[in-house]
Formats: sequence, C-alpha cells, structure tokens
Amino acid sequence: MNNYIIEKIKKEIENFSPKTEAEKTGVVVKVADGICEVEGLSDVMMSEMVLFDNKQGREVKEIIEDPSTIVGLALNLEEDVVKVVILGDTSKIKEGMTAKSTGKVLSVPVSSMYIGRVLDALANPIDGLGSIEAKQTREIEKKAYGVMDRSPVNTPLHTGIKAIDSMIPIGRGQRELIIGDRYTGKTTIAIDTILNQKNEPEDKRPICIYVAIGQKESKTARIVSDLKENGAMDYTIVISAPASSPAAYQFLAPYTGVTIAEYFMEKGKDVLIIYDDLSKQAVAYRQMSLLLRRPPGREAYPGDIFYLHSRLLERSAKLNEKLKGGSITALPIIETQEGDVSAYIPTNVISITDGQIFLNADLFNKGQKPAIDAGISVSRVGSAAQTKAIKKVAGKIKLQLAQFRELEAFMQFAQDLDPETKKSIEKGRRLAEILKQKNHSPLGFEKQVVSIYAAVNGLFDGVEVSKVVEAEKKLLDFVQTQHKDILDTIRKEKDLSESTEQKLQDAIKLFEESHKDIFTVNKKDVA
Amino acid sequence: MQVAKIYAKALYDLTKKARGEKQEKIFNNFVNLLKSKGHYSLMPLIFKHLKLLVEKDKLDNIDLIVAKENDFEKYFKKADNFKKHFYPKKEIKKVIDSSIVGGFIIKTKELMVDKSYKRSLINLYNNIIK
Repeated sequence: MNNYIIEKIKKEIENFSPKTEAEKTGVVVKVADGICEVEGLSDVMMSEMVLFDNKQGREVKEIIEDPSTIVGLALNLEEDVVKVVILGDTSKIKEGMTAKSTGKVLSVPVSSMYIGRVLDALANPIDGLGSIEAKQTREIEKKAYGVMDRSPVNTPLHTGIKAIDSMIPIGRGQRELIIGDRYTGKTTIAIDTILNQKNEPEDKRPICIYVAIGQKESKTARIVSDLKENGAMDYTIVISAPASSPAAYQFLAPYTGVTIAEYFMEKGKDVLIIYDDLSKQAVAYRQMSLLLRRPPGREAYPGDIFYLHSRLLERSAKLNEKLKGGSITALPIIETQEGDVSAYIPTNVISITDGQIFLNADLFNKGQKPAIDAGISVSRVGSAAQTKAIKKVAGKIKLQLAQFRELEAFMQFAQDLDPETKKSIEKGRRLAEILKQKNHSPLGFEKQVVSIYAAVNGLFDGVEVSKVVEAEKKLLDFVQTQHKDILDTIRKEKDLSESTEQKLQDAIKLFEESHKDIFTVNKKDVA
Repeated sequence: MQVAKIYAKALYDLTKKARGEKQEKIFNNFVNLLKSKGHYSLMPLIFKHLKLLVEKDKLDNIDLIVAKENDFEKYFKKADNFKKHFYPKKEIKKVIDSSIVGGFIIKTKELMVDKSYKRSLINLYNNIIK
C-alpha cells in the first residue's frame, strides 16, 4: 500500500477538527418547473447560493460514489417563502428536503487553464478533458467599472472582414451588436472574427470567449470543431448553455462569460466576448420570471429586461493604464423576426451598444455575403479605432456603396439611364463584389488595404463583375509572392506612407500588365 | 383565496395563546365580524387554511436525529440546551436515521446543527482526496 497515502490519511485524521455551527436552513415545500419554494432561510440574500442537502437518508458509501451537489439561486424573497431557481437536476429535489444557506452570492471559478476548454454555464468543463483546479472564484454579478477607471477606445479589433474593418470599424473595449434575421450569417461573422485573431501577434492577441446561449448542441459542436481545425482553440474559451439546458443556465451563461473575461482584463489582457445570442437569454429570463410569478410587462417580458442586458454589456470596457489597460470587446448577437429592428429586445440592445452591424436577408439571398447593410450599420467609435492604413483607403467606400444601393433600386424602374448613373452603378457593383468574402476566410488588415486600395482606385473597373472576386484573389497572390515587402511594411507601420503607396501603385501596374486576360471591360464605361 | 388565508392567520394567532372561555369569545367575535363584512361564505376556506396552519405548527418541532435508540438519551441534553437558547416553546422530537452512522443532528425549519459521524466522514474523505 502506498505509504504516502497512509501518511496523508493519518495527518488528516490528526488535524481533523470539525466546527460546530448552527447552519441556517430551510425546508423545500414545493417544486415545479425548475423553481422550488423553501420555507425558512430567514437571512438569505438576493442571488445567494443555496445548497440542497441531497445526503439525507443516503449511506456514506453512496454519497462518496456520487458526490454531486445541487445548487440553487435565491431569486424571490417573499413574506412566507423563498423562491429558489434550481441549478441542476430538478428531479433530485424532493419536498421536505433541507436547503442550506451558503452566505455567498453565486460565484464561478476563474483560471487561465480555461483557455482551450468548453465549459457549462457554471464554468464546469464539459469537454471530457478533465477537471480544472481553479484557485480563485469571482461573483458573477459585479458592478461595471466607473467612468474614471476607463480610457477611450482607440485600438482596433480586426475582424478580418473587409466590409466591417473598412466601414464599421470595431475598437477594443467597444460593444458592437450583430443583428439580423435567422440564417443571415451572424454567427459566421462572430466566428470569423475569432479566427482572424490568429493573424495578430501573440502578445497583442485577444483571448476569445464564445458564449452559446440556447443553441443546438450540434451547432456548438461544429463551431468548436471549426475553431480547433483552424488553431483558434489555443486562445478561445467556449461556454455552452444549449437549448436543452434549464432556463437558469441560459440566463447565467453570459454572466459567467463576462466574469471569466474580467479575470483576464484585470491582468491587462484584451478579451473578445461573443454572446450568441442575447434574444435567447431574454426568452430564458422571461420564462424564469413568469415561473417566479413576477409581473409581466411588454411582450410578457419582466420589467427589468433592459437591466438584464445593460448590466451585462456595461461590463465591457477599456481600462486605463493604472488598471493595466486591459479591455473586453463585446459582440452581442440579436435575432430579429422579419427584419424588424424596432421590436422590443432589439431596440433595447441597440440603445445599449456602441453600434450595430445589420445583416439583411435580401442581400444574403442575392448572394452578397457577408450580407451587411452598410446603410444602417454603424460604429459609434468609428475611425478612432481604425488602423491609419485602412482609414486612408476606405474613406469613400461607404458613400459610394450607399449611392450604388440607391441607384440599384432606381434602376428597376428606369430603363434609359444617363452615362454618369450607369458608371456609378458599374463601379458600385464592383465595390460590392470586392466586399464579398467566403466564410472562415478572414483577411489580414494589410491585405484588406491592398484589396480596397485597388478597388477604390479603379483597378477592377476593367474586369467583368462576375470575375472581380477571382481578380482580387490573383492580385493578392501576386502581391504576396512578388511584393511581400509591401504587406510587411503595412503590417509593421500600420499606415500607408507615400513611399509604400507608390510601391503599391507600381505593383498594381505590373499586375495589370501581366494579367491582361482578366481586363476585358472598357474602363471608360465604369470610371 | 388570499383573504381567507389572511383571516385564518389572524384567527390562528389569536386562538393559539387563548384557552377555554376566551377562545370561545374570540371565535364568536370572529363569526360576527365575518357576517358584518359579508365574508361569512368564506368560512369553509378559512377553516381549510386554519387546519393547514395547525398541522404546520405541529411539524415545526426540534428534530433530534440519532443513529440508534440509545443515542437519544445520550444527546438529549445538547438538544435541550439548543431548545432553551433558540426555541424555548418547541418540543424535541426523536428521529432515528441509521445512515448518519453516529453522533447527532439537531434540526428545525430554520436552523441545523450537524454533528453526525456521516458528515465528519464525508468531510474527511473530501479533505484527503483534494
């Protein structure tokens, strides 16, 4: 027998001195739909963790073999009873069971060991790769940092998506909402943003947290698999509260995510957190509130539905240098019904965030992917968080695109258009083609600069609209293989200096000369 | 429903401390009050809630849980001290639960003192495997 184990047991027995304390308890009087009513618990706090004593009547051996405990959250402190939301298997809670007050508000363990892992809403690993010994726990409900603790958002977070980085730039510490109907590519934008962080230098690379709320487990499994294949799990944590989990888990998962994010932010790291999606969190919270008999308001949501999201999203911040300068960038996702951005939950979240990326189902169906409606998408941080290089080349693109969309609609009714209008439409078509991007193909910002610079300066005006994407790919390959120094300079300086711009123009000329077969359209008809 | 519950609670609180003639007087006054307010039809419901309150109070004892019959006398004094300190008016009820192995548990609706061998063994086991 192992002497070490024997000595350890002897030591534990010698030092063992159980405390005698009167514990505050209550008795379960009613259990239904994931909520139980407990009589007693006279000193329980709001959001306090309550432990259900499932050891009653069970033998010691049985308890050691199955040591799982069931925890609840005290959410309604009423005159006669305390209503507790069960965070676990409801079928194990019985009437007459003892509920113990823990004296602690709900906390989750936090650790850097969570990177690369898939967790549940209470930060327990569910990927079968073993448990994690976390030395620290943090309360999931925490007040957001105040004004004086923050600094302005001025560092870009590159998504790798041309349409976003050029027209709707996101900064580290910003909250940018991704909103659109079902199957318009919202999750794809979020995942591509995570994948693009691989292009960032390791010391500046943000830690990514993907919170899946109410999603199909097959979808989450596919996302984890994609992240693993692309090497993104090395810097990503996935928190999953699937559709099959209790409403309480779907309500808590985003808070668990931001609690883990704050742990990293306070160490001076940048964090990117994606909430996919907050509409499902709102529905889960509505379900819980109705079961707790809280008065329903508009669309049966409880009165504090705005506060549910505002207190979550306000915890995303960019801290000042005194607090180590870390940040949390949030990309919450909201699903609309039939493009209705004026519904209750979408308008709530739009008013909280620092901008929105609106995905249009019509654009998606026409083949414009990502289906970003640049007209109503906005980033309130704007060019303050945009790399100088991209700022220089992308200045006019939003306006040109907006003009094109207007003319495109007009074109359906008018047959004979004047030459100027025709040119604007042709130019706009090519810009729209340039902004198309395949999923899971994020582009480093230096390549985006080359691509957009070429488009804005008329390189693709001589290319058939249907061949623009192919031409862009050839251009990027050409620059990557034969003029790599241009990309390296842009990446290093984060700017497009005059000398670099000249080199780029020369490279583009060489490309035109060596690829004459692509340029089949008369440029005068376009530009 | 809520009104009947409130009436039942008020009547119960008054009659709990009263005895004999006083109890009868309270009850008569109660019936007259209901009639004057037009709530006499709630009587069946009020009695139903009153019955629940009486039964609940009976359950609200101090449970002294021990592993075997002999331990009850052994730990009765501890339970008695607990009763004198926290709940002087409640009764101590004996509960035998062999799964606690030994020691005792004093349990009421709001407080619990767990000095059972079961808890000690489980805590010891958890400390060893940490």
